[in-house]
Amino acid sequence: MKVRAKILIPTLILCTLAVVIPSVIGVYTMIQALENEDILAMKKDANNLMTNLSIAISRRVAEFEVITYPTAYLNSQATTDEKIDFLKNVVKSSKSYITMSIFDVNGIEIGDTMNIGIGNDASNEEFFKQAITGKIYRGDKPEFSAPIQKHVIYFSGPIYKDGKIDGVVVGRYPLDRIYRLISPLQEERLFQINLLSSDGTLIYSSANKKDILSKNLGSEPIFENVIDSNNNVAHQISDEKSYLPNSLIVGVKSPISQDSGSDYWVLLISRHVDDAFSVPQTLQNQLIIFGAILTVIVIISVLFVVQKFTDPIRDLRNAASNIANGNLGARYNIKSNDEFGDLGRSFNAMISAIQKTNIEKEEFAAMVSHELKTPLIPISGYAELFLDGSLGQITPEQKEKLHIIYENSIRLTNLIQDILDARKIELGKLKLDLRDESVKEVVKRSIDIFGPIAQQRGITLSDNTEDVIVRCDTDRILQVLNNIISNAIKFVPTQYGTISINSRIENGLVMLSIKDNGIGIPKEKQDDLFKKFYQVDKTLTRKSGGTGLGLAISRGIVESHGGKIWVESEENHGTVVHFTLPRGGKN
Amino acid sequence: MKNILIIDDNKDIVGLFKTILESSGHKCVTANGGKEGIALLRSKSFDLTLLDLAMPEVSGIDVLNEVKKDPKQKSTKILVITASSPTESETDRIKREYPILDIVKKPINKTKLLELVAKY
Repeated sequence: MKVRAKILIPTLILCTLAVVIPSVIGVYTMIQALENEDILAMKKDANNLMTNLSIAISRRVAEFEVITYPTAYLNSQATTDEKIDFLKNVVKSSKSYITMSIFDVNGIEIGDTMNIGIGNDASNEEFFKQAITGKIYRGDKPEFSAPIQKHVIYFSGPIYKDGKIDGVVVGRYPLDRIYRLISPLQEERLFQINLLSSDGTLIYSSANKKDILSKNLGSEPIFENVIDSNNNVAHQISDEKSYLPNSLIVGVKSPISQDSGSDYWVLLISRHVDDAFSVPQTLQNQLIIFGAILTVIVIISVLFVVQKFTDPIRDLRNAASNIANGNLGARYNIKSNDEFGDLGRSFNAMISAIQKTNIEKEEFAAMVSHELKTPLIPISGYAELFLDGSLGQITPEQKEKLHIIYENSIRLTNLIQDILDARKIELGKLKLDLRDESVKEVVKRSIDIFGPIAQQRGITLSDNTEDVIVRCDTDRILQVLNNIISNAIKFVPTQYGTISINSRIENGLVMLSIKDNGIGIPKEKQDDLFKKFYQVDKTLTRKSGGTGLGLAISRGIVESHGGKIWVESEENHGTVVHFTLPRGGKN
Repeated sequence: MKNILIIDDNKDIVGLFKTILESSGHKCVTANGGKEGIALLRSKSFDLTLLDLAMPEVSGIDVLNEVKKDPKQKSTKILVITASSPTESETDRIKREYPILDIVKKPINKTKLLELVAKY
């Protein structure tokens, strides 16, 4: 995980814990409180309205109690016309009824304040049947009155004559009066107001007047909740299937008359949730926007801070990888005087020290090369002069021992050269002087060196190469060829040994193959062949004077040319060493 | 038979070269180090000069610079014999910049030395 993520993630978690969660809880509590307040206000409105409705209805009931009181005018010996005149005054003073009528004991209308419906038979009507038994009646729901073409609520009571029920007085209370009570609240608060009778019939609807008396909301959950509630009030948020979809609904139940428990109305006032909770909703939206902005600010600030940390680290890493790639001169560019600056200074000091050591090592290596090789020159040189008799006669035994000095000094010279080469290859410091060279020319130079030895031992050394041009460091490739051919000479049998050098162009590379009929190399040892100081047969090598570095160096040289070196061999069936070189010239 | 100047800081090498060359009938003058070499090159002329590169104080390159500066030494024939192993481009650069015959890497044996002396 990047440092950036390591810092950013915990910071965001902390921010969430410390800021976002408490804010969300706080604001939600506030929203809840606001919502509750909304609901409470609606309940208050509903209760007030219901109280007004109850009062209006109760007044009508009280009026009927007064006008049917045993000593009231209606129960006197006055004529029907006189009684109608009285009722006209009642209509006028009460301002509640459209008309009032008198029915006889058989339910036939015998008088009316507007003189309509005389002779109608109401014997089957509830208002008649209830009143004729001596009760004050109030209609549970409005009914359509044909003579006056309006929805009315019936009020009725008995008329007595000589202590006996002689007829019924009826008042028609129009629904308009209820509308008049409801409409101020509706207009003021933009509520939807619905009034239901105890069986759920829609008595009044502010929105859908057509549904009045034709719809039954008895199965609406809010209706049931109100009926079941202890304090006659309930609220609910409806779903989209409701008659009042997606609304906050407050319902109030109220008995309309004092005496009957089952005789009640239910008032539903409602508001679409979007309107009902508009303030909390706005708050919630603002909270979300605030939270988003806060999060963005936090992320940007953290990224900015993290950048301050990661930039120097990145610069340091770049400097380090630059150095790792061999550019020891690279340094960290110190930009700040803080801990990163200190780190950079220490880093630079460290690299300077390494660089100094490295230079010293290089100089040491060059010195070792020179100082080790130089004393060997007079050793081998004088040994050679003694051996060839230039410095006078020596005994055969002296000659034999001098030969040992000579051989060993040559071997040591070669070993020093090989160690220096191997070290250069290992450090990637092998410098190549690439130029176009004829393969045949290089092979010829090698054969010039080994030809006399091969001839001495009766070994056939043949050059079958083609005249192709390779891009190479001639001296180095000559070194490779010399290593391979000298190895081959060591391991082919004297007298009938053969070594042949072939060339081939393959995949745009020139492949040189040196084939011998020597002792071969076991399969399992072929992979180790190119390792440093590896010798297939230690005793043999000691005898033959190799350093064990030749093939490792050869591989290093070939690979730094972009080529490959490998062997094909089978024990006792000879060895072929192949290596490839890039083609030179214009091809 | 040639009159040969050998410049090398290593007395043993100077001695060896001298022994080899004199045994083959050449006449040798030796200089231990660059300073002596420069003095000898100024005062006398030689058929061939064998010069080492890596020498303390006055190096082979210093000697070559002196030779290059002096118009009287224009005909001086110098063969550089070095124990360090310069790359071919370095060899080429030295060959280009200085009037020398060739650069030969040590170790060098009797056969090779006599061959070179015979060649130039």
